[in-house]
Amino acid sequence: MLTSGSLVTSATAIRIAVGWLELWARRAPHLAQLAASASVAGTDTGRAQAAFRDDLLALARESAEASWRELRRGVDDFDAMTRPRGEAASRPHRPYRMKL
Amino acid sequence: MTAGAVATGGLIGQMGMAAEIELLRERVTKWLESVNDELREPLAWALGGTPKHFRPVTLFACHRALHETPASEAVDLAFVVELMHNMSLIVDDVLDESDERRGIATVERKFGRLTALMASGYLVADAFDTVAGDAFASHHLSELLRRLGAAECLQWRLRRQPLGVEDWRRIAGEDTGSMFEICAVLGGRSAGLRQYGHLIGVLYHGCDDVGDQRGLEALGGGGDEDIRDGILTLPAALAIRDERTRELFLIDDDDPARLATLADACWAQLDDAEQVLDRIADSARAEAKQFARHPEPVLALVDHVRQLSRR
Repeated sequence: MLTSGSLVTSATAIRIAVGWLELWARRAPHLAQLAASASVAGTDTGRAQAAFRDDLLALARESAEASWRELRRGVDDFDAMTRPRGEAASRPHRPYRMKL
Repeated sequence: MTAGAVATGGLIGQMGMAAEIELLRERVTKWLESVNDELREPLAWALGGTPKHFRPVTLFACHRALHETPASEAVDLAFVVELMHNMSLIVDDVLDESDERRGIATVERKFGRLTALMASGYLVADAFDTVAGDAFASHHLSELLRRLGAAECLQWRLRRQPLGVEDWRRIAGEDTGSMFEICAVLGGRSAGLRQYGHLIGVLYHGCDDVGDQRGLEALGGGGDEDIRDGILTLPAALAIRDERTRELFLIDDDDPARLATLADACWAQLDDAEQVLDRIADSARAEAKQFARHPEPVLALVDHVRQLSRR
């Protein structure tokens, strides 16, 4: 169980890290662009700031969702790996009659 | 035939769910025969028209995604979801003072406010009675009812406020998301697809917002009530990033010029809104692939819902 736990924990940590990297690689350029627009004074600064806030929050939310998804997957994997296998137990029966 | 009927026929056909929906309709018909004479006609009216059946389809899709057992096992759960959904529609129509629902007069307009409110209570009572022996379903129906009530108050409290896309997601997640979330949980008999259901609900809500906005432009009606009431739709949440639009959004009046300017500003955000919806659809697909044993039906549902904004 300890081995399974370690394996699942490592795999989950790697998956979360890869997921985050993919997400940030995809979204960071646009976010940087918005950050630059938001920090330059001009007519559209307010709009850029609002767009930056929305995108930053969306990225944070999606990062959290991806981590949560991988954690749940890890729990499912751990459950599947450690579930007892083997013959079904004999049918339960009462060893003696009960007076009801 | 209405646009809703076209969309639904397509949904049920594409998902191969005609048999399940037929079982559901038979269940509704049987139930209507057993209801109190005083409320039979208004209840039949409430469940008539051209219902879209998106929620039962979600429930059946999640059942298929996680179980090999026949759909007939899930019919009672789909039935109670349909009752709860119709209860929420009756209450919505009373609050909004709507004239029509699904192409016919609302229950309130046809039978009066008292009958409408009593019919909504009757639906809730029979929904709980149907699952009285099923603690799992009762527990989740209670959760749904609590969340729907709170979401309605949240949405109204947050109207005409300078909020953003994430606020829209919170509102959509509790309003529509909670219903689809519970459909996914009941259909799957587990929390495995709960987040999937949540995302489908948010996606449905967003596609409806965008579709209404397109209707506003192309058909001369649809999203104008939301703009007038200061409801934070997805296009509105994007449009009010602009300071001038935000100022107009915060005003509480019926000035046609202001409403037209706001409608134009929302219209200009439709491409960005589609991108937000694409990202939500991607998240729903990731959930389906990860947690469904047979992901095909739940993936097909994402694709179908995603198309709704382009109707």
